[in-house]
This record gives sequence, C-alpha cells and structure tokens, in this order.
Amino acid sequence: MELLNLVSKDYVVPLNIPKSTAYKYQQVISRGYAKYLDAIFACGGVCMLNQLIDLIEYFEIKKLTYAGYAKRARVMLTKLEELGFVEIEYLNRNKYIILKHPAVALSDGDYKTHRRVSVKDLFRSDKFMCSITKFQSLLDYGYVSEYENVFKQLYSITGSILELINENGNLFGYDVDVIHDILNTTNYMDAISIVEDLPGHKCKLGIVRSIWVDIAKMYRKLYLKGCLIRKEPLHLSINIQSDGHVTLHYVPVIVIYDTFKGLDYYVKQDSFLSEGFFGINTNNTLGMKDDYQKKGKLGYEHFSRIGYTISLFGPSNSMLKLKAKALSETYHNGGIHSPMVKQCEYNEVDVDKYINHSYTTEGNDEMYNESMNKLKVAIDEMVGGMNGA
Amino acid sequence: MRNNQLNLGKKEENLIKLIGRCGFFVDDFKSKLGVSKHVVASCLKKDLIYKENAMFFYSKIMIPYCLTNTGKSYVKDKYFISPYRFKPSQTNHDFVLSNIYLSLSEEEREEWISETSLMSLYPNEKVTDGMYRNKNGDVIGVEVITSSYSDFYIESKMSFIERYCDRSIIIDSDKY
Repeated sequence: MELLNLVSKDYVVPLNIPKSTAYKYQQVISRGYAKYLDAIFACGGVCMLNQLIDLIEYFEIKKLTYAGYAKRARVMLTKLEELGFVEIEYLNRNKYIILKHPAVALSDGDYKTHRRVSVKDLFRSDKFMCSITKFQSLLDYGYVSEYENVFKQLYSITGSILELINENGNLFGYDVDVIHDILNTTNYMDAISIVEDLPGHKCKLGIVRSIWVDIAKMYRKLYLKGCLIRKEPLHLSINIQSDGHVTLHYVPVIVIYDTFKGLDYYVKQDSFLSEGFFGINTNNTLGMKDDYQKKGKLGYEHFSRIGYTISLFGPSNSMLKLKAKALSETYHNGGIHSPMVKQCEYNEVDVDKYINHSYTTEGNDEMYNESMNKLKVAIDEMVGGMNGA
Repeated sequence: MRNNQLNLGKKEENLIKLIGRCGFFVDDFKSKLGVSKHVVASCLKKDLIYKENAMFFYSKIMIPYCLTNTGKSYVKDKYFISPYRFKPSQTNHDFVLSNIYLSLSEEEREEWISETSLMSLYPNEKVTDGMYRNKNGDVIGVEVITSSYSDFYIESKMSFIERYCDRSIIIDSDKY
C-alpha cells in the first residue's frame, strides 16, 4: 500500500452489514476517517496515538501545529469510538488504537470478512510490535507491503506465463486448461491443491508447477512468520525457448519487520530461505549471484533461476545491523550456488519514541530469556542461601 | 457475590494470594504457580481479578491481572492480607518481587507479609517490599531496589532490615 494512493481512494459502505448500521459507515466515510482506518488495517490493525497524529499531519492540507494535529486525532478517535469502529487502550502510559470489526469490514469491503484484530493475539505473539513497526515504515517510507502481495505476485507471474505460452502456440504442449483453473482460484490453497492433485506424468505444467508447489508453500511459511513480499520484485523475466518451454528468472524481495526476535532467529531464517530457494524444483542457481552482481541479470535463459533478497525494517539500533548481517550469511558465504543474489538491506524505523521512555526495542525474546535466567539464578541462590545456614 | 459465598479451589486461592501479596499476575507465572488459564478465567468470572492494560515487563509485553475491589475485600477478610499496591510505573521492580515470592515454598509463602501490611505494623518506618519467615524460623526482609532509589532511601530500608529482620534478600531489578 502506498500512502499517496489513499489520498484519492474512494470508500463505500461494505457488503453484508446490518442495515441499521449503514449510517455509521456513511459518517465515517463522509468525515474522511476511512483512509486512516485503511492505513491502520494495512499494517495489522494497531497503531500508537502519536503515529496516528503523524499520519494526520501527512494527509492534512492545512498546516497546523502539533497540538492542532493532536486535537484532530482526539476528535476523530472520540467519534470512531462512539461509532464502535475503534478501541483505545494503553501500553504503559502510551495510547494505542485497535480496529474493531466494523473498521476491518470497511477496509476489507465485506462485513463477513474472516479477518479480525484480536487483543489477546496481539500480545501473545509479536503482532503488536510488528503492526507498530509496519505503521512507522509506512510513515517513514510512504509504503508498506501488504499480505495480498504475497500470492498476488504468483498469480500475476502465472498469468504472464500463460499469455506467453498462448502467443507462441503452445509448442511445448502445456496443459493450459489447468493453468486457467489455477488462475481462476481465489484462494492460493486451492491453487496449490490443483497442482498437487495432478502429478507430473499426468499434467505438463513446467515452471508453473514449481511456482505453485515449491514457491507458494514457502511463501505460505513466510507469511505465517509475519514476512511479506514486496510488490515489485528485484528481478523478473519470463523467457520462452525455441521448443516452446518457458523459463522463469525471478528474484522476490522478502520483507521482514523486526520485532523482538533474537539473532538466533535470523540465523535460522537465513538457513530456511537459502535451503528453500535452492531446493525449488528445476531451479538452477549455479553462478546466479555473480551474474546478477556483474550484469544485473540472472544468466543463461535456458534455465529457470529463482533467487531472493531481503529488506529488513526495524528499530534503529545496533541489533538491526547485526540481524541484517545474519540474514546475509548465504549471500556472503553461500558459494557459487547461493540463491541470495543481493545482501539484506536494512531500513531503520524509529518506534522507540512511541514506546515507554524507559524501554527500548533493543529488548527481544533472547534478551528477555537471558534476563529471566540470570534473575532465576540470583533468586534461587539467595532464597536457597536463607534456608541453607 | 458476597465474600463468604465464594467457594475457591486451592489453585484459585493461590492465585489471588499471589496478587494480594505481590500486586499482579501475568501468564509467565502460570507454571511457577501451578495454575492454568481456566483458573485465571474462573477468578475473572467471579470478579476477583481484572485485566489491566498491557505493559512491558523486562522488554516483554504482558497483560497483568490485578485484584478488583471484591478481590481486595476477599483477601483482607479471608486471609488477612493487606493487598500490595501494584505500581505500573515500576513494572520490573514488582516483577522481580513476584519472582522472589514464587521461588518460596508453600509454607514460606503463607508466612509472607506484604509491604502494605508492614506499613500498618510499622507506621513510621521505611518498610521493605515484603517479609517472610523461612523454615528455619528466620525473619527474612525482601527488598527490590532500582536505580531511581536515592542512597538515603536505600539506607533507611537497610536500617529497617537491621532492626526487624534476621536476614535479607536484596535484588537490584536494573541489573537484569
């Protein structure tokens, strides 16, 4: 999602709403609040009050003081709370805003959406910090990757492959009907099922099979870990050979929002990604990284070559650089078969200022566990010492 | 629900005694206290505890549970506990205090006197965060200090320990 696009976006009352609540949606839309809810929704459903004030400053044409923007925020939130679109809670002394179901429905377009923002889930995992970090990256960089991109990109690539096959008279004899069926699915799991139910000897899909078995499943795992795919890949070209078979040269940008994960986690992520991409069926990674570094392309078009790179967003502290370095291990030491064609770039996102002043986001799971272990040892020694003598 | 009509199980009792003595409960204490989410839910339903706002405890965001007014009356009447006043401005301090309490045996926990009770017993003194009698019969003063404490404040706490306790557990919460 890009912030600029929200300025002129039109919002309508979502489908399937209880009729008696239509006026509430109309009020939210007519007052211009919908774009703010949409921005919060795109980032995970939560934002800090100060972040919302910064967003108002971005959208507001008239120049005001900070107090002026804060007043606008207060007025907006009072109305949204009254209409049942948001809930306001506190983290220590900092206010944060959570979207309620009507706000989610407004952004989603349908009241019967399965998507929810659950307070319990927010704090059980790192969804809260992830949402705050995403929102901040939206403010700082003007865009944020959305979960829709994750599989939309694969559908788009499949569509382009089908188009190329048809333009060239399907010399290779691909099962184009099956590719059509894949493109007609609305859920990526259905697309994966179609491909898995038709083994290679029964159905000729070529690189499309690798897309919907290997890449799609890896994307699913990434998505479940909170990672996203940037809208524009680093490199994409679809090539047709003289015999009609199609090859794919593709380098997605995997977007990771750093929250409380320790270095160990990112070391494991690096292994997971390099093994996953290296293991994609029909993927030839030999010399790919060097080819990309020297010429900006992935080499010989006769083979399919699928690599990746990473864009890491996180709080501006020394840990971020170390985490980016851990994620680039494959790039630096993966050898000539490295599927990582460009090292991880890191983008600093200052969320510390929105959290309690006595807390910094250098804290993470690893540090929390380390603190607790040390504390336990100290307490056990002291308490045990009381009983020992 | 009147206090004398509440029937609490052993685990529910342990939960509200912990909150009464140390101010709060978080999910991280479940295994140390031997309670499940159902026990917590049951106490919520009986209006003995409520959910506070999310807070940071040593860089981890958790939701603390505190005593409601009903819960406070209950622990006062039933267990003679003057409830400890949980301070959201010093979450790490109270987190360490709770961990100390949870490391004690069940008998030692029953001997725990909260800071609030100590303030009533020793009205003109700078009392410790807690006190208990261990299995050897020693009175142990428990004090968690932070970097915000002045030397004078710490000295007055030490002097209380010297006068009324046999031994002490002193932990600096900022060291972890």
